[in-house]
Amino acid sequence: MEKALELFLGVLTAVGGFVEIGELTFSLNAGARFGYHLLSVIALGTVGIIVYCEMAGRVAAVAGQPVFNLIRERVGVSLGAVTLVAALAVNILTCAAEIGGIALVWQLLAPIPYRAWVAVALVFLLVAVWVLPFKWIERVFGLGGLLMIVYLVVAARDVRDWAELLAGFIPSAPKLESTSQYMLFAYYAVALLSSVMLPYETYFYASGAIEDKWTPADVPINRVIVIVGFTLGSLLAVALVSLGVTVFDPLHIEPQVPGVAALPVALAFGKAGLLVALAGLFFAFAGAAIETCLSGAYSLAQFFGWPWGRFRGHASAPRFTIAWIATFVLAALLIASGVDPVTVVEYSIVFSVVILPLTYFPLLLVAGDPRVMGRHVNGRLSSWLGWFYLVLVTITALAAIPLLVLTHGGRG
Amino acid sequence: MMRLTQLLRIDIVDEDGKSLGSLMELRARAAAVRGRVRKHVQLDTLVFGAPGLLEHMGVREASSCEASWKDVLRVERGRIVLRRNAHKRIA
Amino acid sequence: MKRDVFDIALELLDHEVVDADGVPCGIVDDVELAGEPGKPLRAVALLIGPGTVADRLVWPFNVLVRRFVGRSRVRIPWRDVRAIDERIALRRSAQSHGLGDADRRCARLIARIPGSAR
Repeated sequence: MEKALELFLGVLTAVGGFVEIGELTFSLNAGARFGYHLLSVIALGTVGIIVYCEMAGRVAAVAGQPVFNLIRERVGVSLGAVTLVAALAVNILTCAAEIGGIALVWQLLAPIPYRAWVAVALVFLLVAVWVLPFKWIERVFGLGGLLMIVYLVVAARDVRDWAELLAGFIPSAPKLESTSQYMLFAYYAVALLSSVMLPYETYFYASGAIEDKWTPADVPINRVIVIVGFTLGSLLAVALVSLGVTVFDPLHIEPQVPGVAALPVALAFGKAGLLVALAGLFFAFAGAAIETCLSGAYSLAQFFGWPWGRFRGHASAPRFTIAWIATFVLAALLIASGVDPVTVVEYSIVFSVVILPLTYFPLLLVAGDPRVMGRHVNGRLSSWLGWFYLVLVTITALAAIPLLVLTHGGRG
Repeated sequence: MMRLTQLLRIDIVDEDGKSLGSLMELRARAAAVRGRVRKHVQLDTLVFGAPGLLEHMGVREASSCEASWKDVLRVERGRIVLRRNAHKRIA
Repeated sequence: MKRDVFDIALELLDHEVVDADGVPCGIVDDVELAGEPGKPLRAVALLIGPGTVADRLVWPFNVLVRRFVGRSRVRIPWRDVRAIDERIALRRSAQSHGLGDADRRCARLIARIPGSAR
């Protein structure tokens, strides 16, 4: 019974935690610019994150090893150091973007200066992680993110052509006017894939499995949570693309700020709908801010062998504690410095995909190593999918920065 | 006193100067390591070869040779010199 | 799956070290070897600490580690190793092995904040 509840809550938490500011921004814009054509990329990315989070959770449950320990053991200390520095930089960028998102959402409710809201968001996040046990952090922000379902409801209501939407899951490009438009399409494909498969998700998921003290008996639960949870969560991303098609394209709005996403919900359900929509964004962004921050602290502590984890208590994992506090503070300072939050989002998404191959490769090796995994070693399907996605993210990683440059940061 | 990381990837040559590969591993008998606590662990065997990137990462088993530490003549800066014909292929 | 050989680079180097209470207290950053041609080659100690890691890294990572993480090097004699598995277990607490000094200093700082026992 307890396991059934854990499974149910685990699935819901995975759904509510699926969307973050990068995914939101790129999904809305993808729909507004390119119709339903990029839904296939969301589907592709969702399968990829399922494959790798399943592996990460399984390795954590069986070997008791989180991702960064494996990185150092398998690819050595030099490449591990490169991965660590890159992961920390990307985590701070992403965390900064999420904090900026929270401030922008709150600014819609009360016209207090943006920087003041950033400071409030920082204090809120510090207190939340300080006071709440890990399980509560997961549940509160994961389940709060379920308020995003209101977007799914509005999107489903507004779809004009279901056949066109479903056709979007078949990989295809729209008819575009110029090469630069096709490059922009490719850039969006890369960005959407990256936003669904962000590296901090595997780090956080694996470390979270150890925080929750998973054992080999939890391997089946792990599988159900990732498959059901992430598939349902991806429907939220699909809904955002659809809103881009049905609401923003006809109005010729390029949704630049996250609060604009709440517009369709406000149009459909009035003030109550708007509040629910904004609350959903808040929980999604706050949850992602916490995950990216803790993920960075986990990586640093695991690489150097420091005691880590909220389950130990702050005073028993002191350097880990200082690491996550410092991450929140640095991220808040970055976003408060005046840099455009949408630009920070873009850079965080692009640089995330560049480090993805370094994250996935050691995980794939360990999950496929019978000496470590015993009978829980990768089966044929996991192995094939694992290698397929490793090749895919490597190609995407190589294309990401050139595309960012050639499309002038996604402006076309 | 030597450190393991100073020896790993060091060149292995025979006494005629012929290159045999680079040091990939130092091996002990498992029984000497697991079980009772000991004051030290004796490393009997050098494993060496010419591993490529995939072998370094553990994707593929490297084709390699082994030799006994007893057949090491000298440890010089940057290389280990083995007795002629002391090594054998293992994979 | 236990094999009948023990490969020191694969199974020891860069593996996590835990103390007698199971608390992580470092990574095996290097291994001290003693011996020369004609005499047995032995692994006699584990070397742990950011100073040791930095020695294995190129610029700028070695500088970054020494500056932001530390320079300490701790030598754990082999007889203080209790068990070798996925993790390396030591015989006593981290403190008695000379490990975890930085954590203890940081813990004093953290302890000043209310609720730090949570």
